[in-house]
Amino acid sequence: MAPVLEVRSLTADHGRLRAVSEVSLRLDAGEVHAVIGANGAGKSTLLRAIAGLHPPASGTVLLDGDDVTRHPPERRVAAGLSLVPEGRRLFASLTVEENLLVGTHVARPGPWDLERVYDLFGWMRDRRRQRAEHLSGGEQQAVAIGRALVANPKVLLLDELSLGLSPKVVRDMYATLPRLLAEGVTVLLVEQDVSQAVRVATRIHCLLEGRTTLTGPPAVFTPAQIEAAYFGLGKTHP
Amino acid sequence: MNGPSLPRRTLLKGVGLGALAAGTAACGSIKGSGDKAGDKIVIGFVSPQTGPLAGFASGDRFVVDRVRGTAAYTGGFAVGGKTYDVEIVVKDTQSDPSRASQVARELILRDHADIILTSSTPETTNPVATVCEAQGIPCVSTVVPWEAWYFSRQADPKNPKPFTYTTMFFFGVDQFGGCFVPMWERVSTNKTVAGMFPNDADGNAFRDAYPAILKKSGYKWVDGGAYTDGTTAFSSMISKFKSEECEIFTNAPLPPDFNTMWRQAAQQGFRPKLATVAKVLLFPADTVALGPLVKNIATDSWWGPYMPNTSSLDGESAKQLAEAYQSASGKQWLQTLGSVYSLFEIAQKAFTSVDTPRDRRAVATALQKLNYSGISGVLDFTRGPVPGVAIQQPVGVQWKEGDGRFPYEMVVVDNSLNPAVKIGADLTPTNP
Amino acid sequence: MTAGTGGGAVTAGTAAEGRFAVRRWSRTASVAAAGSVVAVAALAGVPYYAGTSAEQPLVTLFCLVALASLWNLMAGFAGLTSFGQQAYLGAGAYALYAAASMGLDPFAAIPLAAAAAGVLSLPVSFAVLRLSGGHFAVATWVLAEILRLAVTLAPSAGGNTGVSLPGVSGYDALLRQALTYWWALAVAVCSVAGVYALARSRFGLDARAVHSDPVAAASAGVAVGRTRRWAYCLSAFGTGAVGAVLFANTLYTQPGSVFGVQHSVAMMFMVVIGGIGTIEGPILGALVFFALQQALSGYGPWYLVLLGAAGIAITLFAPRGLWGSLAAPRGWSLFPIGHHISGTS
Repeated sequence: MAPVLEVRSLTADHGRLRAVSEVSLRLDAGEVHAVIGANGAGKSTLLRAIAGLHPPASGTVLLDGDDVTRHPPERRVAAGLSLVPEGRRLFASLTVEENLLVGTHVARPGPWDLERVYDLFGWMRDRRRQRAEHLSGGEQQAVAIGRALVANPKVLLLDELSLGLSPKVVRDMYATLPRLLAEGVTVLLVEQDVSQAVRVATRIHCLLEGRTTLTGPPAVFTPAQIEAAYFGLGKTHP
Repeated sequence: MNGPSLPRRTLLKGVGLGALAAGTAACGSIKGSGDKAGDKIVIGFVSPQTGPLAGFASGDRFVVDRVRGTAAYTGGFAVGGKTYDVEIVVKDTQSDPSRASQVARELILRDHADIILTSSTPETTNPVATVCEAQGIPCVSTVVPWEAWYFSRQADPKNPKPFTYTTMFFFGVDQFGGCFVPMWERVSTNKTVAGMFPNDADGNAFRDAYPAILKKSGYKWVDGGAYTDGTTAFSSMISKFKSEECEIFTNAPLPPDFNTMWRQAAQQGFRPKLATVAKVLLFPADTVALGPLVKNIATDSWWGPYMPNTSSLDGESAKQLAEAYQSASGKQWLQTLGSVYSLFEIAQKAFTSVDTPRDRRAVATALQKLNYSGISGVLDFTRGPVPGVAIQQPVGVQWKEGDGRFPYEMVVVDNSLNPAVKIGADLTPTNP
Repeated sequence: MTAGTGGGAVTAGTAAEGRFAVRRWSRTASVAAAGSVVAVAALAGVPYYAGTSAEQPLVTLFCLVALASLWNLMAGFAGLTSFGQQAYLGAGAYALYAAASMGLDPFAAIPLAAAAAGVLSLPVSFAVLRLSGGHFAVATWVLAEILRLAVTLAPSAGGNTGVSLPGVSGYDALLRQALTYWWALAVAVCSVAGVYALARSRFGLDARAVHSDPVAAASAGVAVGRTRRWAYCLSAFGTGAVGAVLFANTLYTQPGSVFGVQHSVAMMFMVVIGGIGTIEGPILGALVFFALQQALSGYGPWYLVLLGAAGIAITLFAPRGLWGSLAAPRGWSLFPIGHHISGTS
């Protein structure tokens, strides 16, 4: 079976600086892959390039076997590739519900709609008429996930879910992950908290200065190996 | 014009977009601005009293007050055996053509003006005349080259149609030529003329007309190039004039551009024997910026205290009017004093020759037929180049050092077009 | 039509629990809509019962309302702060001149002039929409200046001296003014109603999302470029119509005046003091601007100083604009654009 998402030798630059260099990924349906790495390792750029928000210098992005490398972001969303951007980035002046509605505009048919999102995050239904700017960080993150979910993505890209959130909120957020997977979503996430990533991922990719330094199921690596790949201490390719 | 109102049902039917289509049919029921009450004639006056063109109009308020004080105006106009009080409403365009159009409409709709008088540059007179022509209100313009006033308001300038309600008096390109060429003749030169003409309406009008005028008189024409208004670098133009050895200089630029160009010419050693300028240095205020560099620059003058003319309202002479302005304002006289004064002479002549001031068509016809002598000399509207245009004959003047009251003043040096004006001094080369 | 038509109404509907549906209407809005219809009908009759002295100021007011609404479509909804809408004002005016010069009836040619401005905006949008923020604002301004220069240098367009509108001499003066009035009213109503309809549509929500965060909007599936382009081109189309109507009203146009940046300043002033991103705000802003213009015009150059002072005062004490400050605390919404949920069973 073809992978849901395949990334081949993706390279992306920030101006004259190479941010992502020759990164390749293969996600099969139902998998959770975590991209880890230090600040500035190129994790977010990789996700943005996959989502179509950052034009790659070279390489290919395949969604369900179709080449989407040149497609604008909205076409990728319509094809089933949604990003929850770093820092939530809600539409601050819009209500919770309007934020979600924007996500439905190019939605594929599927299990997710506003109702299901309200069911997933119990508090949200009562506060759907509040403007997004009045929500707490964790609530905003939930709305951001909901906004991506209502498009019924095949692949959900989650960029730094835990950024700026308390450990409890982060735990709650990751607790919803199995329910997404149960609906058939495949997840590629970027996480700075390595222990969190190792806990949820079926496979991890460690980036260092834009290059993959380690990849494989988290169980096969020792913490020392991951640490070495993370900080670039010696060679640790398996 | 004010038909009876339609019954309510018909009115409601006509409402909305349907009324647009049915506009012609509904015309009879559309209300006008209301009937005018009283035995009063309202004269609207529009000029650029503030903004960049304010230099033209700095004497306008004085002239209006002066006119209001004449017996002809204080006593009212006798029209068709009845005497009407006269009210003059003054409006400022702020040098903005849109505002000019707006104040003209206000004068017609709010003040119920019977005639509108307007002065100074196409940017003022053309919008005002356009509104008057469309609204059917008599209008007289001045201080605008007649070609710019006449042709640019035509739907098809190649096939012009005379206007019904709008008239004007001033002069045009022919008179510029007729005024400048005799002055050139009196200075011994190589007959090569440098022309500084911008790429704007006036500049292009001159550029079109000058070569023919020059050729006829045996002069060689050197075009400095169609530069954009507001240019600050004239070196290439100046070096062209120098390499072609131009000894005469003429132009029609915006005043600040001339100031820049003339200073650069002085620095770079372009010293034509005679400079005859148009559109700039018309007013004393313009001379301040250039200081001694204005000395012996020649230009055209259509009015001044040296004109042997008297007011048709009260017999006041041109000299008296200029001096009255100087003592009232402390400022030097300017040419538009006479032009604006004549607008009010013309209004008085037109109204007193019809049966009722409310017959706009009759007033307009009276304007077209007018031929009288006043403070601007003889103005004959019947024999212009086109109907409704009376041509003035300017004289050649030079800016010369004043007698102490003002640093520079205009002195008549050539009266070829208007021999009735006395010569005040000999023509002196701008650069010996 | 005006913000006053539904005054004093209170927002209906408190959210009920249980099953619900998206609801975007309220009793206030129904009253406002009915009031607007009555007001527009009453205004359409002005040439019959009030005459030209009432028409003239209203033409100015209608054009201001239309300009404010159209600028708000870009700035308030799509987040495009243009400083160059005068380009399309002039394009509309000069397109009308071209059409009338070719012998078309000037009033029949107004839609054509608007279309010309809209068509012009399309290629322009590809250039200027690559920029954002201040760069976009400056680029649009530069574009307007380029158009102004182009017209100034074109002798067939009258150069800097300007042109009169051909083809109006056949009209009776009263009919001509009434037609101008109806056109101004139609353009204002279509602008407000059109922006309202757009704002309530999917486009409106997308545009607000783009305004709020273009990157997030793109990642949520909004076609950011297309949304901005629609807002820009539709606004240009409407602004072109206003330019043509203004020309038909003044009968004279001149590049220095019609392409002047003061038009953009006025649009921004009206939208900001009225309340950006709402339907009511620009209408209220236009009314305030119009009233200030009428009240202060006698003060000569001080007029602009006083206008500026009023603008500063309003932005300081009512940062969300007059309508935002009036309506938000009281929950008023005459022309609701948001999506509200309320109980339906």
